[in-house]
Amino acid sequence: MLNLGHAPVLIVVVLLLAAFIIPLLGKRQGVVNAVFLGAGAAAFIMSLSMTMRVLAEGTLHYPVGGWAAPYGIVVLVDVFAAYSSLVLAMVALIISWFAVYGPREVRHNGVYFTLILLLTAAMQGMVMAGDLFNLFVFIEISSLAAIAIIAIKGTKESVEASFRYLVLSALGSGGVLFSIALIFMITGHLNMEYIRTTLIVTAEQYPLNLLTSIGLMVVGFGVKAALFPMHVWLPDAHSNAPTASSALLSGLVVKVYIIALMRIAYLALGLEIFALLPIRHLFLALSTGALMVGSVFAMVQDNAKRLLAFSTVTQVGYIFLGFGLFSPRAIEGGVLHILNHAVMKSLLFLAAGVIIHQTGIKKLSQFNGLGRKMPLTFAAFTVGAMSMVGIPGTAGFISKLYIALGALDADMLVFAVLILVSSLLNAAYYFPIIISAFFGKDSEKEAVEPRLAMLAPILVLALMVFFFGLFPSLMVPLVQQTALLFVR
Amino acid sequence: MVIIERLYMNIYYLVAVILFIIGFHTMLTHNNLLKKIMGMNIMDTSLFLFFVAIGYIHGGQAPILREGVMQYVNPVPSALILTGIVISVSFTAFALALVVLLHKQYGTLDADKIIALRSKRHA
Amino acid sequence: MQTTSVAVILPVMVPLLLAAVIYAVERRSWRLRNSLSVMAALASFLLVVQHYRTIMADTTIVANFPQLLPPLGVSFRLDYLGFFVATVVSFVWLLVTIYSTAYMVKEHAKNRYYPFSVLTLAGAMGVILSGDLITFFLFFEVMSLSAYVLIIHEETAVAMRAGYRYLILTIIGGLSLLFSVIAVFQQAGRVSFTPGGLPLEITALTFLAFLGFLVGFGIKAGMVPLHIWLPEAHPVAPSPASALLSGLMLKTGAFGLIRVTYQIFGLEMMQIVMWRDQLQLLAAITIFLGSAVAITQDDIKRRLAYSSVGQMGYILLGVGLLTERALIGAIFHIFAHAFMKSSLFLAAGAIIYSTGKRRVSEWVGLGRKMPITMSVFTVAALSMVGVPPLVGFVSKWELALGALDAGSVAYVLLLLLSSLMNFIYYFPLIQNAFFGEGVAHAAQAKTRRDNLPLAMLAPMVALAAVILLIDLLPYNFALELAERATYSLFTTAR
Repeated sequence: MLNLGHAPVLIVVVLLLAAFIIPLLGKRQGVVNAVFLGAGAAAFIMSLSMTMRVLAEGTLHYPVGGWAAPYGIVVLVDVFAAYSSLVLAMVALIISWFAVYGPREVRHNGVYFTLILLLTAAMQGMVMAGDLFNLFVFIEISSLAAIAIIAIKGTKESVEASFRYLVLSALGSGGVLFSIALIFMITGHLNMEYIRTTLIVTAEQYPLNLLTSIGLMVVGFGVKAALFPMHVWLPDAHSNAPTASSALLSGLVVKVYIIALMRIAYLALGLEIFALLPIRHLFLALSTGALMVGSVFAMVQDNAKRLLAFSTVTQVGYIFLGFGLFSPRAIEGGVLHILNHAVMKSLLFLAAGVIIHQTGIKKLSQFNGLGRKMPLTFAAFTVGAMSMVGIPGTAGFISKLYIALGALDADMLVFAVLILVSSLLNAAYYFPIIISAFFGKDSEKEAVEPRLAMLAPILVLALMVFFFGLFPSLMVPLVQQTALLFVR
Repeated sequence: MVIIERLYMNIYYLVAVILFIIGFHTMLTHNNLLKKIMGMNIMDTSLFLFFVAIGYIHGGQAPILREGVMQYVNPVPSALILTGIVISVSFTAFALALVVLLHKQYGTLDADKIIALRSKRHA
Repeated sequence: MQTTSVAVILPVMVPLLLAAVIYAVERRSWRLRNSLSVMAALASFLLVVQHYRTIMADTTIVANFPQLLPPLGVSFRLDYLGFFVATVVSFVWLLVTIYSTAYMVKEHAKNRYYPFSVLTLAGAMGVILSGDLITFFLFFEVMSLSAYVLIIHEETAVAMRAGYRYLILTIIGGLSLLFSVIAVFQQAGRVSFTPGGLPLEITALTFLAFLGFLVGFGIKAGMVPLHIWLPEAHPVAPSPASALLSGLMLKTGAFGLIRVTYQIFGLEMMQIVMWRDQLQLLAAITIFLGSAVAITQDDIKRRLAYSSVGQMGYILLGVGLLTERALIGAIFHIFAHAFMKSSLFLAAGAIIYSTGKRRVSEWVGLGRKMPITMSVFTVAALSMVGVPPLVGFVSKWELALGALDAGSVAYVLLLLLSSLMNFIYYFPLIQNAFFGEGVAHAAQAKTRRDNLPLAMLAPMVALAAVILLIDLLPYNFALELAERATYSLFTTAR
């Protein structure tokens, strides 16, 4: 029996270890699959137990190697980190299943699995990191792995898109590193909690440094999280990746940077500084743009995966909107949307991937009548789409409800209306797809349901959409405590 | 004179910032993919300089306990930058690998031409 | 009095589960599918009616599930109003489902029709039995979205276009409802239907909430100018579905408006603010326009659909007048119109089923060929016009008295005018059918009269019998329930 007290590092270590073992296993596909899924499942179980512990005992400080702060590296697991880690582990496990049993789009499955494991390990490390430089290292690992799982498809488009992603991602990393350097310059610390206590004293002495640092930080993370108008790389990158990668990127990777940014905001900078600066208003303005522009661009897409990618731009806007409104309920909504969007966007991407694989049709305008031939896949797609629109009973409704309630709490009626308008826009591009798929005239294309192993992750995700839509109370304690981290 | 003196005091930071801007600019505006990678490296290097300069104390010695040495250079940034260099190298290596692939597939290193070729394929 | 009993969710849950069961078994046996569909409506009906004694003892049955959908919580509530409307809806649904088992034989994709019909029933029952706005909204969306599948059943280009318009308007309506729910929650801290209303301040936000409700329910109830989907969508659906849509689903909009007016905003507040004026005005326009446009329609189902718009105006007017007798009229009209419009659509469906004639002008001499069907049609039409002692008369009578109570003679005149227009668009049709100089088709004359399956005839006759007889019974329990529902809404308001 593992000592689960070490869970915070063990999660990362197990994933990393599996990542290095898999290339050594060579061509034994069965063993590779087992190690790959086993590592994901182990991470999920550890993450679950860690979450339970955090709920019971409060924030965990885990000094790596036993060296205490400020000299040692500290892994700091608060409710937000535990929640994020749980979401990551859960959704990543389901997508991993799809990567194994889904359509094969990659020449070397072993290499692909290694990259996915590296990516998930880095993401887990990122949400739990307690000091800035450690965070930076994980950011870089995850960026590299994220770019690699796009390029691995090997088509012209995917290589080109991944190079563009790489350039912008490097710019973002540069911004983040610069801002970390500036913070280190002011405070002399990299541990987030020490930074906060020092900043209380030194912030007033170096306002310019701090301001530059925060600006670079927001831009750096904004590029990586595809915050409008820094989303330009996203549609190409996400739509040209292999299906499992698209789901990982849109469902999880984009959000991890938001989590990291928000963790820096309340852990390292402190809420006083966050409240003083106009970051919130910047978030509000940019997310408004995201909500509108993402939807409008999504409407004119004919490529299924590009549409989903543009929809991600919108949904990232929702999460930023939740944080920008800054009332407890809005933050709860934003935090919930991290989970809900991870589930529903993965669902949509996987379903779209299956449809494309079974029929060879990428264009939405040719989806007509396919729903009757692949009822289960399209039913799952419909569930995801309804959740995106925010039909009650689905997960997407809950987070929208919370953010809208939060908008009214913050006395910003406009944003409540904005959310509703954006829901309508979502409906305007999701519903025609579903209608033509189920009720459009038959296409000549032959199409059959995929085998059960490929369909299983999609159905599980569809059930999760309903589950989190009807029983959000399961996540509410975590989410409420997370909101308390922000609004004390 | 005061300004010049202050500039001289902060010469490392100044150079770092100038290098950062050069790198940033190169990365965004140059069409040649190799130059973009060079820009990325210049930017990274400027950040390493910046980081190390934070820890550097004029006249300080290496942080090894010895008799008669009172001032030490802060070792933390130097240690971090070692990691940073590793990251930068791997990023560069990966980027170069992608460039090789791109050159194989499109036959050019010009970003604009690649985009033109790609959209032609789409149309 | 209030008791807590989980039994109150059964009329919703049983059809919800049966919809899934039907979907699972329908490929194996169409008999099982049809009987399960009928069973679902019957079960719903019986599960509601079993509470008759409890309800009549002035008891409200509630069931709360606060752990669902936090922070608002899901709850169910069965009071006089809910009991009355739920009984009417489930009973008519039962008859229409029986009718559809015969009617749909000629249609395609029956395996899609039945599960979605039952799902729509579950949604409608959920709307009626919901105890708070968020539950209401939840089932409202379930009902509206599954009704989409019924509307586009024929999958013709016209149907798809009408369906798309319906879908977009439904989503807009749903979102404005959601906005209002959120606004109410923000102001009052809860959204449960509370006798006498929630403690709301009169602010701009409250007004916006009211407007949101008006748009959301107005779209569903076909209130002018939000009715534009209705005359397109109802005619294209198969006839039993048209009956469900026009006869029952529209009522949920009016029902929601009653709930919101009396149990969210409260009578007191509605009397202070001037919003009722807007409501009355819109209702008056709806009555006039719906009836007037109906005259010009030649397609029978379009004529009936426009007639529905006008009739919904009565109910909205009854809600907007804010007097007891007007509300009795409105609630009674929910019942009356459900029966009248369903029998009209079923009769029209039967005629289309056996002759294929959709145009009113072609119905010459039909009365002699299909006497039972045309008699049903006539009874319902006369009731629409307001001939005593049919049910339509009672609701108009109460509405007119209510209008006088509110001191608005103009509305009484409007009601008379509308009756006249009803007469204009129903009577020539009936006259033509029974006494018109029909081109006697020798071939058709040979066929048996009313050559219809029993499953189609019986529900129509049952509906017509209720229309004809309920006011003649010594104890008019429909009116009694409508009165009790009204008093309960009013006494708690005081």
